[in-house]
Amino acid sequence: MVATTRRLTLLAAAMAAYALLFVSWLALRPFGKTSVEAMSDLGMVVPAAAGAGLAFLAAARSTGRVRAAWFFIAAALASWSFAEMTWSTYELFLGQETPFPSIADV
Amino acid sequence: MCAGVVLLSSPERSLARARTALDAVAIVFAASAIVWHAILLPTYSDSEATALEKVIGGSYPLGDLLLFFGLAIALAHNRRERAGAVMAVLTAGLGLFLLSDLGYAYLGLSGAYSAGSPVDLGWTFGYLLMGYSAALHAEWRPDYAVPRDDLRPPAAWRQAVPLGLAALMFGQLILIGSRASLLEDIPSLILVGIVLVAVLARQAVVLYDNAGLNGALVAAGKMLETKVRERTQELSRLVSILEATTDLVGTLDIEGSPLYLNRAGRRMLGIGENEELTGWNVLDLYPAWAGPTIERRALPGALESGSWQGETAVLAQDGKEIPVSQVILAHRASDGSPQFFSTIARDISERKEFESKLVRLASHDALTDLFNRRRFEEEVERELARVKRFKSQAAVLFVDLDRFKYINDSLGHRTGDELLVQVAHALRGQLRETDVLARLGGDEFGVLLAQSSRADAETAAARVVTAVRDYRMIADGQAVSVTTSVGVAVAPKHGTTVEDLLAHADMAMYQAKENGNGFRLYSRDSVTEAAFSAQLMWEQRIRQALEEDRFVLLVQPIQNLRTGDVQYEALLRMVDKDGKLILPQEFLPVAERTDLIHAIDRWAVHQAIKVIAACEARGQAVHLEVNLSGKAFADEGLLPLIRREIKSTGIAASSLIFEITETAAIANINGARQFIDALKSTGCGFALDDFGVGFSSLYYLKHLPVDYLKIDGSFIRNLPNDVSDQHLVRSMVELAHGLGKQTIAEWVEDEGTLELLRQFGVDYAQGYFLGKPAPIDATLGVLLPDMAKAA
Repeated sequence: MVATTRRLTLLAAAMAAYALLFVSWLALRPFGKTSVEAMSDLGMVVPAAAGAGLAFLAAARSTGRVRAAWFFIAAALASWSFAEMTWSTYELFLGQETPFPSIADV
Repeated sequence: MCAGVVLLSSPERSLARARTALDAVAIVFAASAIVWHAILLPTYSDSEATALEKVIGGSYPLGDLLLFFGLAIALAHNRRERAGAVMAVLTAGLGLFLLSDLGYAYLGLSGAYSAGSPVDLGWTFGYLLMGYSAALHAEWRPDYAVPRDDLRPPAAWRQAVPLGLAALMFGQLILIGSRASLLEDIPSLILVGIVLVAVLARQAVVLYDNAGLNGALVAAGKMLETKVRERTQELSRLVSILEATTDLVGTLDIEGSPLYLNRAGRRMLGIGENEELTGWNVLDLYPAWAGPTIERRALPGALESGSWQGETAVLAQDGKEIPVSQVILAHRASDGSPQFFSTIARDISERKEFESKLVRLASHDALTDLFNRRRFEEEVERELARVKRFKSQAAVLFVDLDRFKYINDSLGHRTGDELLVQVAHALRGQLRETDVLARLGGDEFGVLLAQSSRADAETAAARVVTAVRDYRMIADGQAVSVTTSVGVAVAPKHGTTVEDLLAHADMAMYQAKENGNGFRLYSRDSVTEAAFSAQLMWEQRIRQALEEDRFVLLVQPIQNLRTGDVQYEALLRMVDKDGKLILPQEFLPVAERTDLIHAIDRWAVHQAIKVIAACEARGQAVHLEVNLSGKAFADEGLLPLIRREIKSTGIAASSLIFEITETAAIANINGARQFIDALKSTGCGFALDDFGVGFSSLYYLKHLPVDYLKIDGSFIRNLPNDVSDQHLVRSMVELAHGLGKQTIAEWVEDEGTLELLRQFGVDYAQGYFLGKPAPIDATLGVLLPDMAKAA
């Protein structure tokens, strides 16, 4: 129980730290426009992927109907993280405006 | 995502699920209609985006709407704490997503979006919250199911939601219609239409659901009614049992106030049938001495271990104490808290009375209520110790009534007993308060004169003799008088031990009786001489009687109380020269001290066999009981004689039943057993006489293969008036039957006694009431089935 509470506190702290980093990065714009774009794109891949991982863990630790529920949520988060990655690829590496509609929208 | 949300949020009951789904549809489409009309429509109409771009761009926030409201509605259901928390975090994540998607749809389509705008925060934080909700679930793994027993009706505001939505949609229609033609905004019309259809469908579901619930409620009510009726009947059956029982049954609350008391309990305590018990305390129902036991021991004991059991007494309203054997139980609720006490109490007055009587019997004579021999000997012993210590003197008088056996035989045992009681009273009147008077047995009394010299003792003896001689008792209309012989022995001169002193007083009495002169002081020479000459005289008389065949058998009927059949006991008498019958008590003690007893035993057996043979020759079957002496086992010639005679006469061996006294059998248990076994192997029956007075261990009884137990007459003669005798006889019958033996009761002198014996299950009865001892020719010559009445 104590271990559970501690793990959740640590996770919450890590997420809060990330959120703070994200907000201050966008607000302070430390390395100009490109860095803001990079953070805006890649910065969203990380929490989506992490969320997908945690949801898969939740599914793994459950059974039956609840397991299926978390599996679907995990799949959704995974597909979002894939979408964010696709978006980032267009914007940062191909150096072009993300086409709309694109593979990311799928 | 949608599938996940649906799976997490669906309630258990299908109708409730349908209702929730319709609620969700109504809310989502209402929100969509508002978002469409208020945000997207104005933007789209200005945008240059293609139709595909518009559809995809708009689908984001609409999808989010669906998810967000679906989850929010699920959350509004009654969820358990942790499941609720997980779903709240997930919902919050989706909510942020919804806001960002709406913002993006607005900004993106109008081209105002750029990376790093606040819209990005919603997405990022949304992912984080969704991830965190997954982590919460992974750690807690809560149960998302709505508990089955949670059938509380939904909150009133939830009933109002669909109607509110419908009103909102009409409001929007009016708003749209007020600006332009309704036909210009087809999507809004479709969305509003969906909401209205969903609301109507939802209300239909609720009506259908309510109808079902109502039916179930009516059925449940009927079932409940039946159950209540059944339980009420069961309860009244149980109460009627409690009311019918003869024991006190009651309940107390935990403070000790009576709640219920059955009829027997109310009767026992003298409380009216309908009298209220309120205001009573349990301690009011006990005498003062028993209260503390109940308060400090019984009730706490019951609470501690569940039950308490003990003997106490309850206090009736009239102040009478009733001894009871009581059980108190403490009853607890399922959570272990004490609820109430119940109790059962049985009236044990009769048993207590019996017990105290037994205690008294150990030191007192039941008939006269004087001390018995044992207690008398203890008193003498104590006095002798005083004599020794203070160099004082004390005297013992041995008082024996003359001709008492004659009185007993001629006037009956009851008259004899009455005489003993009155003589005891007369004796008491002649003695000092400090003198001890006891009944030593039969017609013998003992007196201990403490602190008395020889002269004092002789004066007291003379007074006793005179008082008894002058006493007259009226029985059957005639005056009965009796004389006594008193022997006097003085301590320490005539003995310093109880045995010596009593034996010497006994001898002096014997001498006084021989001389017929009232009382006599112990004197060694004269007593031995007298005793010796008396013994010689009796030996002479017995020898002569045997030679001249001056013995005779009388027969007394024994009635089978079940069948009415009659068998007989053969009773031995010696006939004096002048034709007077002499009772066996007179001559048997002397005979047993010599070999003469063997001759008497053989004579009796021989005679009995002859009687049976004579009867059988006339075709008359008869069962005859013959008494054998305690010395019979030692007579090696007796068994062969019995076998020979049975064979030579050809009688049925089962017709012959031998009787031996309990005392004699116990004195030589092994001899008795072998003898009985041998006789039984020839087919003869066997009875144990005088049962109950030999103080034998029941262990012996198990090992004696006798067929009958003859319950000693001393238990029978007062049966109707003596409760302890009734208990004893009942126990003896039970014991005998348990061992496969039959019982015979002696000294039955009236109808009342006979009736009791029948009730107790005694098998046979014998006594003056059924027939006195009579000559054989007179009795067996005229064997009639109603012999008992004739006698």
